Amino acid sequence: MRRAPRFGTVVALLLAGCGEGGERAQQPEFIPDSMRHGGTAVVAYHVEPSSMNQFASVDNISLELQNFVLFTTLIRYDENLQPVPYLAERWDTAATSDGMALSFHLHDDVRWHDGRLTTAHDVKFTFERIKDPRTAFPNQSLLALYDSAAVQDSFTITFYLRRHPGFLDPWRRISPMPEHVLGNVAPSELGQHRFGSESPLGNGPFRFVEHRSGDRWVFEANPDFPQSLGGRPYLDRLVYRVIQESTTSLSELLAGEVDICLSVEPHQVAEIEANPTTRVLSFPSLSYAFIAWNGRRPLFQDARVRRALTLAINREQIVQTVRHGLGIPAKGPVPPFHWAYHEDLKPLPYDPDSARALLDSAGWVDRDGDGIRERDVIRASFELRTHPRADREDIMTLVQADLAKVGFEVQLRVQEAQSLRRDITSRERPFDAFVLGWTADFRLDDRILFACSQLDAPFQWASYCNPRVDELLDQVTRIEDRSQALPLWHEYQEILQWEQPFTFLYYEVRPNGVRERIRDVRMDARGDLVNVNEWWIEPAARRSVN
Amino acid sequence: MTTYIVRRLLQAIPLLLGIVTLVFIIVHAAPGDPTAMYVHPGVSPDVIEQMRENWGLDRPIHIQYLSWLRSFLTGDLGVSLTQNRPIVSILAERIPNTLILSGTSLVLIFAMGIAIGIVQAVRQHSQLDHALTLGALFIYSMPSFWLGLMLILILAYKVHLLDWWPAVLKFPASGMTSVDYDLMGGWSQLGDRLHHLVLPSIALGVASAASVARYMRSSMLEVIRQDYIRTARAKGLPERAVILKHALKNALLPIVTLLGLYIPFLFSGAVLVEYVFSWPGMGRTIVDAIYQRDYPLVMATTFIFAVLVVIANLIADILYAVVDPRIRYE
Repeated sequence: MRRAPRFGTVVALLLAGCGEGGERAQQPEFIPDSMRHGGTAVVAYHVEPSSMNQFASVDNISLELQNFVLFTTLIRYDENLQPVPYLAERWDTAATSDGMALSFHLHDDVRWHDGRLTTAHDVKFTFERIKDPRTAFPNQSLLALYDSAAVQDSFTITFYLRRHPGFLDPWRRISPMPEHVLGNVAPSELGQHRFGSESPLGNGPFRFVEHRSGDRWVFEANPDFPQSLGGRPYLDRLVYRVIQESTTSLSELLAGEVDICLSVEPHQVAEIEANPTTRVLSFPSLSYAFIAWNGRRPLFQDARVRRALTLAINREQIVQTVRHGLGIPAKGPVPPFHWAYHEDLKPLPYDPDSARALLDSAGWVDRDGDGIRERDVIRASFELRTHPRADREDIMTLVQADLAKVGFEVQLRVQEAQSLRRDITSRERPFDAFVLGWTADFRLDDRILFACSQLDAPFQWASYCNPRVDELLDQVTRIEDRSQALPLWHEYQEILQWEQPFTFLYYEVRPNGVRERIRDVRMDARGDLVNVNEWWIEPAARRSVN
Repeated sequence: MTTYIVRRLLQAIPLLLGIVTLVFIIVHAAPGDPTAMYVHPGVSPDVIEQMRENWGLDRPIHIQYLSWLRSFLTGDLGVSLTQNRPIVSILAERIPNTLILSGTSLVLIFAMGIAIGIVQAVRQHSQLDHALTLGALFIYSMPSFWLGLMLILILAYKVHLLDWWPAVLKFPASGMTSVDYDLMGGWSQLGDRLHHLVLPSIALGVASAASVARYMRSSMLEVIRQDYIRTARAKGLPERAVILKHALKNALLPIVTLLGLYIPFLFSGAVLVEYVFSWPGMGRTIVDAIYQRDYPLVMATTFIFAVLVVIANLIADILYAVVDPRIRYE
């Protein structure tokens, strides 16, 4: 068997910007722009996008199809996560008495696919429906800072909002919806309108062709997409296919039926790399895996115990065996894609001896010789849970074995996803510890996880409260200059590493399988489809239709 | 006969009502609800409450049941909460797909099973009989999803690495049609569909075909020992006519009853096979709906499955009367 890529190479690949296939990318012969047009690219993933309607969906792949394929957002992020113009050709800000005014100047030549122009009225319509509680837009909180909107002229809209360093962030996430199609729909019915799955009308680089539920979404190039936004995409058609079973999608990728297979299993990477017609593009995603220790349990109240738990868990081994190297041992809640990531912080090592010493000093000693430590009458015994997913279950088994070596008794429990969610988000917190994944946001705000004010809220699983952390998390939401905020972010990560409210296991590296014939595919934390309009297929390798 | 069919259909009504009521209770008793997939740090509890209100989940459970029942009886199946579209249009897309797959499998099961069973009975205790028995037991013991994965691995992937392997025997691993289906001509479209049907219908049907073969073998053996077969042979009929004309019809009787048993079995098997082959049918719809607690969709799909099973059983009973003149329905 081929060795899985080592952690070092993975990181090197990532830092290099995760471009074309690392060392496997051969220099392609030059193909002029005019010959790059044409062909069908097939993308497969195990998730069925719930809707093309911004007012309804929250799943990631729906968002990617909306924002990169069918619609246009006002702004985008570049590789450094700096906002750049997209549907809005520019924006300006002005201070007001209680905050700021933000004006977007839209391109005046972006048309809906039925020929009507996209205007500031569409943006205002979208804004108002999102703010309207009757719409029940899931991510209403995106616009929590925003108070009102005013249309200046057909292509200019001004928002009034409170100041925040991430004030632009919502607009890389929200695509305006067509008012002339959805304007007359009652807000409470917007989410379930047939627009989302049967007749979406966009204004992006691709047009909607067809949706067969459980099977595929078909899009075709929009020949009228303005040059200033990137122009007509190279591909003629983009087909999104739902393939749930990973073995099936792998064989479709290797057999050439599928061009891009999103999120392949780590154990499949070696086989994809070994095949001359396919390559793997991997990048650090927004997600990390962690163990939450319920701070209301006496066992987990002492930071020394939590630190000992982390020291006793061999996270490098977890990355190698569970992720086949596709992960980066984690040091805190800020993932490596983010500008606030603490480069110099060293993750806690795997050091069972220090763990034992820490536990001894914290008063947890095995007095009755049964191999399990205790303090007073409490035994160092707890239940670790997760939901049914092979990799999480493997993690639990490894953690159980590691912790047994330093005197913990761990019972494992795999619980159906929704019932686990009910338990961990209930006020009573009826759990000891669990293994789950967390997806960070570009506008990072960890107050929901670790702020004292959130102690009774559903996501403060650790019941962790440190006034200094509160202060830091509040301050970083007020400082617009990244270089000034950075030291505060670093201090936050240092404190969390010392106190370990969670054991951060690893940052996930997401492997996507790509056929060599698809060129110029870039993928990073912004999304798998981030440059779909630039993908092209070698003319000789296009599918032939008889 | 007509009165019998009508009576059976009328009897099915309380049965189906009982089924949907039971399913309603069970799916609502399961932890979580359809809003759970929206529970996310960025989503405020007010939004979730509003969603529950928009979807009518804030009402007491018996009111929800009555209101669901009322619209259900008037033919309104509601809107899927996860796919955000009318359930009728989802069913209209998905039911034919499942029927195509299970129908093909059914034909395969009985055609293969009966043929193999006859051969085995006629050549009882021969080498061929033993080989087929062994093969049937081997296939019968294979779970359909595992067989599906093996078929994909070998016939949809490994053979692509062989240049000499004929293209028509390189099968697609997933979906019902190729990506370029819409751009093909009429005959290529039909060929494409059949090509996509091969692996899933084998995975779904082959184990049942093996068991049909076992039944057919023993049933045939019983029949060819009867006196009237001896008579037929004695009057000089060729063996072929004896078996196919005289013995087969009687030997088929117990097999026809299997039909009623296999159809529900096929539908439940379709859940796994559709998953493995990414076949956009009812099986996957129902499983996804259950995981996401998409109540209206769970109700509609279980109802459809129940109806299909009731109809299948009815057909089996009618067929039974057709092949066996001794059976009379009043």
